[in-house]
Amino acid sequence: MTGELAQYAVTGVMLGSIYALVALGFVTIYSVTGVINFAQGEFVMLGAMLATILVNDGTPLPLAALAAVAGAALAGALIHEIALRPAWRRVSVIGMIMITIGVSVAVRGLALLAWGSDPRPMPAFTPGPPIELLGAVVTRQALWVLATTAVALAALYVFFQTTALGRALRACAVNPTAARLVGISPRRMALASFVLSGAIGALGGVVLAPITFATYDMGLMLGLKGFVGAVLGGLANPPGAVAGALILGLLESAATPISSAYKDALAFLVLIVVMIARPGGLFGGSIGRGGL
Amino acid sequence: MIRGVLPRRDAVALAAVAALIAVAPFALSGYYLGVLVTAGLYGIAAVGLCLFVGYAKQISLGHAAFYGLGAYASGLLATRLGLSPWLTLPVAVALVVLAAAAVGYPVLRLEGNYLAMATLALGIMFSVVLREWIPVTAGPSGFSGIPELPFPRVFAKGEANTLWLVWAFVIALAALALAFVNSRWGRALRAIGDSELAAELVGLDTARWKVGIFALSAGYAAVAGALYAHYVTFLSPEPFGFMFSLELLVMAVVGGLASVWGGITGAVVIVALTELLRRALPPWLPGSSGELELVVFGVILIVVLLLRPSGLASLGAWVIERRGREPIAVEAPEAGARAG
Amino acid sequence: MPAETLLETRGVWREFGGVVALRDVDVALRAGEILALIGPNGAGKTTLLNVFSCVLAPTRGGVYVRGVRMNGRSPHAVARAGVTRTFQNLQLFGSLTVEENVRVALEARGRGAADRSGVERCLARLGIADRAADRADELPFGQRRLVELARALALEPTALLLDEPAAGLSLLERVALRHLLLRVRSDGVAVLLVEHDLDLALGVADRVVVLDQGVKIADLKPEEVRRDERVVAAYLGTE
Repeated sequence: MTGELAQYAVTGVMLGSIYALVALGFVTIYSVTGVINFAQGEFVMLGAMLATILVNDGTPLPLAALAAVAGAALAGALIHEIALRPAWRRVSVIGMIMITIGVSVAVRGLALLAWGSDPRPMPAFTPGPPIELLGAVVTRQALWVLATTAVALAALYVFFQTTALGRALRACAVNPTAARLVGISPRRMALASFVLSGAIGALGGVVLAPITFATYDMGLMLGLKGFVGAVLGGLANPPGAVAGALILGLLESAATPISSAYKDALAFLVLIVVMIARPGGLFGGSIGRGGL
Repeated sequence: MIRGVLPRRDAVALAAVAALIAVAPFALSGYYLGVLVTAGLYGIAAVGLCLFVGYAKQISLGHAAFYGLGAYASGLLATRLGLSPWLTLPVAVALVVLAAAAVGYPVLRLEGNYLAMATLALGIMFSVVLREWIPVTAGPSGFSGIPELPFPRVFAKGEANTLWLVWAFVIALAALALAFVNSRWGRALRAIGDSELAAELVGLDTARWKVGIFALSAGYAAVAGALYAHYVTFLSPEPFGFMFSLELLVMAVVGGLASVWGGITGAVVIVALTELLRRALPPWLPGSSGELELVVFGVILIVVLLLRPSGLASLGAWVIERRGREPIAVEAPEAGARAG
Repeated sequence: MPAETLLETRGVWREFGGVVALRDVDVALRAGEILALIGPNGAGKTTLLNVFSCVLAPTRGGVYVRGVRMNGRSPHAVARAGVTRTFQNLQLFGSLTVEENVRVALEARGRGAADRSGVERCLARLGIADRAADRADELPFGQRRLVELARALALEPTALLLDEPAAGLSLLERVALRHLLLRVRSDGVAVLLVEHDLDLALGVADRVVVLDQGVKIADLKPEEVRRDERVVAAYLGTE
């Protein structure tokens, strides 16, 4: 019994870790720019796809992972420069939503054209039999997911707290006008937030690829799940987003034996109910920018 | 009936469209007639979406669900219960309108980003139900044997008859939409789109208005969906997913959101473009039949929103009136600070 | 003979996060009067207007229109009860013409589309009849204020709440506004006026309520305001 519980818990935390990385991408861009980036899931896809292709071509894993993360970060920069920079201040919220959706579909389409629709398998980082942990059977890749997420979260925390760029991003999130007055360019910060979100999302994709394989259309669902996590956490609250994503992961893992088919529907039901009943997230507070 | 309700220009344009459709079977091959039927079906749904997105300035990323619900409801009722499609079509539409009102009542309290995500989520939930509720929907494999709408057939070519039928609906529903937007209700709707706060303060119950227009818009999608079901006589979940919601939105944006004509123009342009891509592509890009659509839709969405937010329909109006104004490009993204 | 109370807050508090914007405020607007609501910046004047018009819900306390509790109702319910308002930063139907802005208000009241003369009268009253066919957001700022006023008056309210109606107006336009306010009062409309321009506010008001840091500190006649120690202290203390 405890073994079974532990199994669900481990699966849930692993799912939640991936969602957390996506959720942090949403939160970063939203906090800095006020825009929800509907293309967030495509960064995960790009990370998974690039890493898989490079590894299968014989590139050493660390190098492939690094290149995939860098590639997605570059994609984030390009997306910002091409599609979003010209729109700032001219286009309404609804228009911005449509633009980022356009980006997401275009990226997905390009991936399909470039890499086809077949799922691409990627070997586990460290092959070997699953490990027993508190009665639960845990794959080695799941441990990689957990460890990578933990390290990424710690690194992000250090980045936001101690580096000049991190502090500038936070300043811009709290008060863009004041940030501009002290010489921080909101446009440059917006660009930085897209680069950072691209990198975070891609990292999730890299560690996820051996588990789900890389497919061109994996981004939509992952993006949505990450958004659910971000909303549960309050949208502009990074620790909240991580907690929200973990809650979602656990919820899905617990729901799987009841009805794996309706598992996805459950996440969205939770999303809608929370947005209506607790728009500020599960942990109180009001919605609005100012997190990070 | 139309005089006094419709602006003269719109009445003339509708008559012109009717005349073109009337002669089309004599001029075009079955293939092109089929394309026009599809454009007509999408046009009906896109006009509905324009009312909701363009006039009320809301957003729906799940309109395919209403199209699909209309199709499944009418198709299932006609197939399982053996009822006449002329009966099941209005029943299905009424069902969808009620469902949209019931869903809209809580969901339309959300706005902006949250509304977009909520409607997207609803659309995906609908797809999940279509796939998983096998006893009713027959699951992923779908079901066939849906009866066609019985009506007097004039032509030997099937598409020609359907063309007249579908476009009769297009013209009637476009006339209805045009009469609506030019009435006091249309004025109130545009007022709500401009400022919900001000609309409330002149006494308009904006929450009820939004639910009403959402239900109306869903009703348009349902008519199109039901017509589709009795046209293709086979239904499976696949066509009613997120991509179709997006496609409808692209049509509305390309044509011009705040314009009934925009919905129809957008549908014709996008359907034509899709066909063109399907036919033109395979030679120079084997194995990607129609897959470039994704990229093209995305790029179109971005380019139109950045360069010409009022869409193609406004080009016509601009040429005539010389006052091209962008309806959606008003507020800065800071408005997103409310998260909703 | 005290006039009927049209609009009233009883013991209203409003908090934003931890900040108290209104603290136990009782303000009543009586039929036929112009009540000026003044106070230094951040006193809570606009918040009070928002509470009165149900744009914001009070954290505690009640809002009443003719004795009917309005808490939890939408602004349109307040509007239908005969109370409407304008905004400091203007809320126009920007893509509609000036004429349509007024027409929407008439139609929302249930007046048929045929009531053309009603629209023209409203516009003429504010001297913007010649702009009837222009888009509202293409007008200069001062005229946009007038459109908002015309739209509010088209509702034939019993109470009109104005948030800084003179802000951004030229000297001439201010004089016209002053005459308009007096005319509106003589038509029997009660006016709650939030105004920075003390000369204008005290010149037309029958009664003045002073807010400071969310608290009602005085309720007096206009001629007493400049002599009142509390008011002077409040203004000197913050400005």
